[in-house]
Amino acid sequence: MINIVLLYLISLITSIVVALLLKVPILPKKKPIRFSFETSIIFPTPILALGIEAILRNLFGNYIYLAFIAGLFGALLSKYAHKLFGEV
Amino acid sequence: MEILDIIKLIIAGIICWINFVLIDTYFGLPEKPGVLGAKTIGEKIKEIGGNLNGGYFMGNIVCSPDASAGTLLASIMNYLMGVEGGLITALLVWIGNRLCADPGYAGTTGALTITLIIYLLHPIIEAKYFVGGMILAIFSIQGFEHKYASILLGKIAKKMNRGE
Repeated sequence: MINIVLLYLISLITSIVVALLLKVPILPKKKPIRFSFETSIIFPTPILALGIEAILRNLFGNYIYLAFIAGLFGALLSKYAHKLFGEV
Repeated sequence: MEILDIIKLIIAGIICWINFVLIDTYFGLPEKPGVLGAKTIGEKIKEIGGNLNGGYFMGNIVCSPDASAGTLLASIMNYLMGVEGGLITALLVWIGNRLCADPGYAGTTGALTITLIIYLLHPIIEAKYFVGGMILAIFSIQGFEHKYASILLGKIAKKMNRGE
């Protein structure tokens, strides 16, 4: 149980660190936030990282390097979401 | 035993209803239509005597996966694979939101809050009751009576400062 929580924590922290390095803003600049399409470190970066980690863990098993990969992909998806899904 | 099942189903339905209506209203679904389809539905509902803001709420639910879809999908995934299913739902709902030109705050928040609620309540009410309960909850808004449902949603929106 602790093992699984640790894996999620690793993916969460990795995603936040990578997002910071990629200069993703902490909060969207456009107000009101509820209509802003800009991605930020608060939303959706951690949610994406945890979701990807859940998928990878269930598919391939409990590996620490998968948690790092999940965090990395979460941050990249968050950073380049506007390119993937188009500008709104 | 069967009466107990029905009581659990109704309680789960009420929890789901409150969860998705409050989150969707908070994130501004009644304020403006996200896409043209939602605007059309809102105006049609106003034509039959309903509330425009409630109509926008209902239109936005139809046109993108908001907290209603998040709640239903997270209940199903919690039933299938526990808390981790809720996390996967949040990711997939966000992707679905982005494909539907929606920022995705309401859908992911709804999925995560119902995951937390199911986790806390699972010794008493199992995830399967939330799946059935959410179907009843969404039927009460989108299927039963559009006019009065939109008026109720409009009133809730006004109370929460999200509509006129």
